[in-house]
Amino acid sequence: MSTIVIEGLCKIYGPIKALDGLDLHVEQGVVFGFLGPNGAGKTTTLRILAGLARPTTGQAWIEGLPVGPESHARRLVGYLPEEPSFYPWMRAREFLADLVGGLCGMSRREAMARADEMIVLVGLEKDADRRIGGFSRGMRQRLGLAQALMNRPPVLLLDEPVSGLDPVGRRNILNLIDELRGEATVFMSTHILSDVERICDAVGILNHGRLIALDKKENLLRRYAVPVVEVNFDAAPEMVAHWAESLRELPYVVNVQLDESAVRVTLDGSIQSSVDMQRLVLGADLLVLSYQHERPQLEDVFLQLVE
Amino acid sequence: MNKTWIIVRKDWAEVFKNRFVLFTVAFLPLILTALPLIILYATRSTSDLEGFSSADMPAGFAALCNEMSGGECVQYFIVSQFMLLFMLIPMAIPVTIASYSIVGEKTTRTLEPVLATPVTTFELLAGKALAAAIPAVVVTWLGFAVFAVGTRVLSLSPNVTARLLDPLWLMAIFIVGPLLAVAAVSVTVMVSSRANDPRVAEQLSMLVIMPLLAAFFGQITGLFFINQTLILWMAVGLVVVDSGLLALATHIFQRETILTRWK
Repeated sequence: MSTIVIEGLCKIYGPIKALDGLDLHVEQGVVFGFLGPNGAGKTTTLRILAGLARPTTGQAWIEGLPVGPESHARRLVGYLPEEPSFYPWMRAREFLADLVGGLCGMSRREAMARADEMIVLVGLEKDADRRIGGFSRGMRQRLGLAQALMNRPPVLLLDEPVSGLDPVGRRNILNLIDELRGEATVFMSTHILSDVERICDAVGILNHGRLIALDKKENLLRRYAVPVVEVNFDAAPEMVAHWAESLRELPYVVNVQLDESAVRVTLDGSIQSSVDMQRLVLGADLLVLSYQHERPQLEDVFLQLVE
Repeated sequence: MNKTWIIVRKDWAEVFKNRFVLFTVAFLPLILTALPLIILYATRSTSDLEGFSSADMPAGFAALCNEMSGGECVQYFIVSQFMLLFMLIPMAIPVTIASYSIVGEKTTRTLEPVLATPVTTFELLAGKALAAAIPAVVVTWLGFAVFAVGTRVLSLSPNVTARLLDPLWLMAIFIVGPLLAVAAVSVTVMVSSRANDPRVAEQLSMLVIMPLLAAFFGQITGLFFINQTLILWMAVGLVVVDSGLLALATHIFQRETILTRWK
């Protein structure tokens, strides 16, 4: 069952078409990575899903409810903006318990307990009673995530959730998102591909307001990512160049790059091509210093599709 | 807790940290309460008004004096000019509070996390409107209470006291005052939804006090005089105007516009 359904979503800001007929289904309980270059329309999509913006045309649903500023779907959603801003004079605990908890309809006691729970979860225990005005970007990001989780939402919309975090903070937040798998549907936009590769089950790639790829991460890697073999020889560059030239005629070789005595060969992705390449390298009659068969990366898929 | 009340409390905590807002909320009522009391003090004995008679009053006003003596009528006339200014308080204070509350949130982008909670636009708008209107109405009533006590002490006679605190002015302060506050808040919400600078929003919204200033000068120059019928019509007219302004303000106050036109 799809928790998030988007059909024909268009959003036009003056002369700019931020979204151009976006269609997307996100299954329940998955961690969905929403990728795209700057200005692709990721934030606009998230704002529409959060009920903070209206589409020009098209419609989106969360758990079957149409989204919108006055829709009940907003009760099902926790939203973390890209750059969360808070009242600088408030303290973190006060913000979560008094403001967010209250606006989520919780009783005072329930809001206090939930706020304490969230503060521990995002690692802000030491700073819970400090003014938010003195928080670093990473701390504000963690507070924003705590806010998004306050209402125990079945759908979490996260706009660049780990941007601005230090490596430890990033790991903690990614672990936290990972733990939410199955409990909540997480829809996160990011440009950090290694994070998507690490925690996302499914990936959508957006470019110029259009979805150009949508699949499970493994399928996407299998379909688009191309294996690369990198070989370093201990031989004269001319001899290496001569051997590299001979590769260009092979049907399963997509590209050959030469850098002195190092050769980088892009293959067509079949297993047989990798096996054949291994044999060719050993039969080149040149001393091999290193041989590396690079694992396909999501970054390769992303760059291939976007460029 | 009621979501609207949560917004009200948050707004109060925020705007009253702003010294300019605090100064406006405190200073204007102090001045406008002190002015009529100073006039009362300056005319507190009949010798101060020696030589004045009802004939010195504009004809329309003299008719309102009935059985009052010349001196009493003059004191009532002078003081009642300034009483109209009491109604400036419920108009000016909400303009300042709402401008800083709405535009201030737009410029700091602090509204986005709040809008992402399940609060409705109506609850949010009602919270912001009440946060601006309640202090204004309370301060107006407090100012009038101080004036009422001062009137008892400083007026020439119980006749003047009775006329200055008659149902005309009670209706003006306790019914027309809150209605004026609602009009001021609605206009400020509309202006603030479009403006990106609290000072610009405040200056534009202050135009809402122009009709009241026109009434003040109209009365001073003797064009017309505030009486019970006029106050009653003002109240009825304001109910109609407020309904329209509130509907328009709710329509114009769009979450998306506020989030995307913040700079």
